[in-house]
Amino acid sequence: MQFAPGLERLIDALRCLPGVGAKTAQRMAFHLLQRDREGGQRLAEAVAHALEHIGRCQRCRMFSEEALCGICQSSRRDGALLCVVESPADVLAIEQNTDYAGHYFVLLGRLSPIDGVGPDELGITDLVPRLDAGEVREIILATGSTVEGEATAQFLADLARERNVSVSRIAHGVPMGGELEYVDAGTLTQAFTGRTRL
Amino acid sequence: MTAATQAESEPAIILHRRDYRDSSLLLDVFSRDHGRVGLVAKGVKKPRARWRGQLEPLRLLQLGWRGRSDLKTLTQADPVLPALTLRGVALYAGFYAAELVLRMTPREDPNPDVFRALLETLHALGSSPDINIKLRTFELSLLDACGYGLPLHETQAGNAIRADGWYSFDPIAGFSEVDEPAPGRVSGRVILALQTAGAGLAPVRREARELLARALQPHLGARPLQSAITLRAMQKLRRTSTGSEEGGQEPRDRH
Repeated sequence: MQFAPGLERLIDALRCLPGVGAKTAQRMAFHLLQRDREGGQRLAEAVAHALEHIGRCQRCRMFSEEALCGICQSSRRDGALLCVVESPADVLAIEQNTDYAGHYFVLLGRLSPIDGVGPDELGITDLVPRLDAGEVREIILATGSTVEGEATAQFLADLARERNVSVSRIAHGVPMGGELEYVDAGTLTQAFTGRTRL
Repeated sequence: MTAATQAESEPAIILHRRDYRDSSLLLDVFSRDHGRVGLVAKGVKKPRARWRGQLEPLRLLQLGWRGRSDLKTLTQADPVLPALTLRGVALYAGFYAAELVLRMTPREDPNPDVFRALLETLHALGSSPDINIKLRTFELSLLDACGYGLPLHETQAGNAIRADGWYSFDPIAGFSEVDEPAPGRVSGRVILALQTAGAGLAPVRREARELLARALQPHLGARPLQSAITLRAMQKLRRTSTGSEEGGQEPRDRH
């Protein structure tokens, strides 16, 4: 059956969200129109506002409404400590779960030579002058534990070491509350090579 | 449409992967008996997925798949131990080798020689300090395996290559002797070094790299190799040389 053209458009537009297929989009559209028109209004305004005003922080590439994000502006954070992550979601995860109080740098991806994703695409070319200027005392590499994540970390570590910036990599290994028996081979190998002295 | 195929415990190297939908991956793998195959690995990025953490690029696995379209469905992925672990420059060189294979081989055209050459190279990159020589050796074997082997033993006229001779080079026709050196011409010394490959390439590494780049060019299409461009951009930010001329700053056509 044919829906009203406006409804078709709404359903189609909702499908741009991750995890939303035809059926879910249809349920969302019906919900907004049938049960929560006010919520729909708020959603529409918030989306329009965000798209118009939210850009990237000039220093760390995190989402921000101003030239510098809240973290980069804050006087209570240690600007000489820089944590490099792959995505804005990683910043959120660290902020919510750790007491890290330095700055961030968001790559928005990871090195992938075959796809042409290199230092320019990841903003590393812009980060290097900051390392040259001696702004950063320590870099904490928190890229993912994948081949590309490791390649990215290694490249950044080489750049930092050449500039006398101290470098560390977040640990990989057995999860909290985890029993060795259930840990996969790769993680267990990593846990052994990366063991720490007590 | 491709006929239905199925494979079990097939040794294969992951050349490339990219995200597909929310939790799946699209893989391009090179397998020993089936050549290059496109696979979809469904749901592998979910937190408790079976093959999570295993489907990493440049890794050797035993894979199973089935399907009738160009894109097969992955049904099995077992690690082959000990796992290949490349780091730093060796890893970047591995990406370059994988891109060459992606660009030089058609899908589903069995070519065990390519598989062997790539696997040997990935192992060699992990253990050898001289990455350049490993890559040149790989380029030679890949050209050979794909049926474009360089006629390194004689000129077009059928004469033997002499160390003190100079030769013009055509990627398809091969070498012909000329009277004197000029831009684009190749010294016999370089050609003889390529015949034996290995450590003998060390003194002529730049010339060998340029010659092989010219030999590969007609088979790569118009688009430049992405990994070579990326590696050059990475090298530019380094203060010290990494010894990987794939990412080196010197222009390709230096004579």
